[in-house]
Amino acid sequence: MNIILIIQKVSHKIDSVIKYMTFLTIIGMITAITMQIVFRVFFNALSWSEEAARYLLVWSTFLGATMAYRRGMHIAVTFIVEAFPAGTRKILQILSHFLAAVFFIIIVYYGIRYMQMQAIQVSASLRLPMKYVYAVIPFSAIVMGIHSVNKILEVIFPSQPGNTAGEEVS
Amino acid sequence: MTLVLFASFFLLLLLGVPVAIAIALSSITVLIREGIPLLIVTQRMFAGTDSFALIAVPFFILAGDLMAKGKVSEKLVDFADSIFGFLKGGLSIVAVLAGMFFAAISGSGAATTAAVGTTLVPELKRKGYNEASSASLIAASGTIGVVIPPSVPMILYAVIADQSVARLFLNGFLPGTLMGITLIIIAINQAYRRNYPKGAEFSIKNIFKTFIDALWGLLTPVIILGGIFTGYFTPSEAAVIAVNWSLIVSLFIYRDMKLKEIVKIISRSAMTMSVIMFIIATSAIMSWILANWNIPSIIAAGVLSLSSNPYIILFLITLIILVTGVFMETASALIILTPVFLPLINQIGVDLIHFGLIMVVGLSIGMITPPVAINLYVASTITGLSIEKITRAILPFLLGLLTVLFLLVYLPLMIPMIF
Repeated sequence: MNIILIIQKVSHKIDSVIKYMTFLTIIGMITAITMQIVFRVFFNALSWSEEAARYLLVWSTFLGATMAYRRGMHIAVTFIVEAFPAGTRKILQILSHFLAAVFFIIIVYYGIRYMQMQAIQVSASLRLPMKYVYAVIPFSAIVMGIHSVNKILEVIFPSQPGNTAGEEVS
Repeated sequence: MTLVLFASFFLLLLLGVPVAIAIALSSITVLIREGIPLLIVTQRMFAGTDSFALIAVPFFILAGDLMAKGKVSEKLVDFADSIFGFLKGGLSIVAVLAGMFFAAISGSGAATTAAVGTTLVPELKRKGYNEASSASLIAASGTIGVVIPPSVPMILYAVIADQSVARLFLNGFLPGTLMGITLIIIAINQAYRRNYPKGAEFSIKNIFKTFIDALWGLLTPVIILGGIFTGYFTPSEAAVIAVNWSLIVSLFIYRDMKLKEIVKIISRSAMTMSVIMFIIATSAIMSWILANWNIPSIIAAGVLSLSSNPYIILFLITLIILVTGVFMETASALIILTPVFLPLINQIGVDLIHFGLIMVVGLSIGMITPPVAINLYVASTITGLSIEKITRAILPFLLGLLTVLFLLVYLPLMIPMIF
């Protein structure tokens, strides 16, 4: 099996796992805040629900961002790039994914450094080790890094089967 | 340094790098040049998204998407039709009115355009309405989606400018209604010129029947806005209640959606929101740089040295907002422009709620000005008409909305009308 197909497969597999994770973070937020309201109105206010919802928002943001990156949904100014002839457009697309990859690498490195720095910190009400909360940032950057390599390969070798172009959530 | 920040940002944007990543990379360039440890990048990205107020963003998007897919929009259209359908060109009024109803449920312009468009376009075609005009009217009514509360851009503005979401929401009704009335007047004028047909006879009985049918949808804004304005729950809680409510309505009352469809809608909304939230995350790095070097205050001082007349300054800012809206999507434009303008607005003594409304209404007009015009794209997908055709037909509506915008900019300076 060649390297292109492997990367394509890895990118696809991770994405299908992340799809479930993102879904769970959204459901988690709905549950936490619904409980917060119910408990405040009928019983005693919960102490942990707001914190849980905030961290789930961070998680869903970065996980969802990887899905959006794979599907090319991140908002970009494309009308200028699209005005160029196909050859130039390809080079610009590769450059854009490459620059994104540089950003992801920076985030992986400093995300892990940040986790190490906060290694002993725990959250205020859930007593959750903060490094697990922060972990989503380097994790999602690794995933987006893999997606960006996949994207670059897709631009160079467009005839591969199973391209991400036009992929929808299913 | 300011130059490096903005020049690299625009260069990256023009290269087609996604807005969020362009913001991050230009900020990182400045941080490296100034020798500041890059740990601040991840720290700020976390801090930017770790906010309870922002939880309202995903859930107002989700609630709107759930309601747009189900029968709710259909029932709202039927209700509006029973009131105004009997008039000449009544369906155009229905389009705007249904858009306004839906705006009170959804927090986004695209969802509003999609909800009203999908239901009404076949009907408009069947009755012989001009297709391009109808499509552009629906796209233009979609802009009201972010002006009448709830509104995702208003939440973003409130968080960035540290203002009350509830106050912004409350003040959104008047400009939103004004936008609707303006569009209706233009549409009626077109109806008479083109001799559009009338709809079914006016009947109180029918109004009552469609009202009962639409009640579940109409109750949504009553619950969420009522809850927010009475202080019974926070906007974030209200957004989650809106989601629960729309799930109950579509699963148990209208029974128009299967669980599988709902899972799909949740995943889609998760992506839609994370696109906005990811911009929020990286813009937290840029706003740290802006604040650290006092860049917005320097810009404010520069502008004020040219003129300190609030009328002129607001005129120029409104122009910048409109031009940005032509080339940029609403949320990203708002996230970038707001922190830059805040000190200037403070110095000329304009209420920050008033400015938030100008920002939101100004950028909502950007939803119908190509090349970056989400509502036109949605309307084009629904009708199958080309963007060019719809764009040509949108001009009268665009002028109408611009008039409302400039009324909104200047009237509150003369009459106290911001609550």
